[in-house]
Amino acid sequence: MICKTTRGQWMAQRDGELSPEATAQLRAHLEGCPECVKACAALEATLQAADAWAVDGSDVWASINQVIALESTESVFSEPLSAVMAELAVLRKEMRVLRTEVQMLRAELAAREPRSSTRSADARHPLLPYATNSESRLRLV
Amino acid sequence: MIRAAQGDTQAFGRLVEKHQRRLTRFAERMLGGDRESAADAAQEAFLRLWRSREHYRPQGQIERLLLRIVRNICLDSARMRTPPESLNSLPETADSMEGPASDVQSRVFAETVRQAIFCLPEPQRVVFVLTHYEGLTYREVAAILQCPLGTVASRKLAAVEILRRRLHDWNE
Repeated sequence: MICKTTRGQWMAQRDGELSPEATAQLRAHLEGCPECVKACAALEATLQAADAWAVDGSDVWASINQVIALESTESVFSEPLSAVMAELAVLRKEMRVLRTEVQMLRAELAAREPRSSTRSADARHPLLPYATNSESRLRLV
Repeated sequence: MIRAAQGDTQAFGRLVEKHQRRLTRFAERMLGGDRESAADAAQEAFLRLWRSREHYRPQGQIERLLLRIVRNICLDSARMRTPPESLNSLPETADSMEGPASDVQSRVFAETVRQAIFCLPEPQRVVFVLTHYEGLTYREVAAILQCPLGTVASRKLAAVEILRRRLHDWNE
């Protein structure tokens, strides 16, 4: 084994994708190569660091069920549900664009404004993309 | 899914409840933490499956199919093309956050990781998210992405190398 392939082999081994023979070769190489040990330790630290971003996931069945129920009664209405849903999707996208613009504006204002102790800290900071300070949002809008 | 394909909404509901968490998690990470868009993407994937239920043929795992649909929806999403905030200025956020110092550090670091992952090129990001966060095997990921196993392995390593460089200051 050569050092060039060690990181790839180590990654596959960490993911349980390496054969026992290749794993044994990797271990033998690492025992005699401090540079590769260091490189693999850096990869391990990075993987552990990535766990800092936790995401729970969410429930979507209730809203899906509503859409299914609406679609099943679509023929009752004069306007096709698909047209309404398409309009809703467009409006949602526009809302997201507006939200992004507000965030960018907020960031720009925060960058221009001298820091003041009287304002809420998270309202003025440009790097909180999902700030929930409704008061400041209303002011900007 | 076979019962759902026959129009059984209760069976479809059970299918959704079984997979919704993984799909929304996957979408949220692909979309840089945008929870609302992630829920929309997962919902759209389930609805596409429901609307095409009459053409459903039981071959392969339904979850792989759903993950593939969500990935395609995320690719189409305008959010994918929105550049994330600069990584360079992130540490400053600690000054403006409230709470115990350790909590603030954790939140800033989680934000750093979120942005670093969102900065990954999409082919590397999808492999990293599916293998690292969702625990899928290379074979499963290869089946979802319809690419060779070796491609999955090389993209995973490339993703971790990019993340290592971006998170270097924090790892020191």
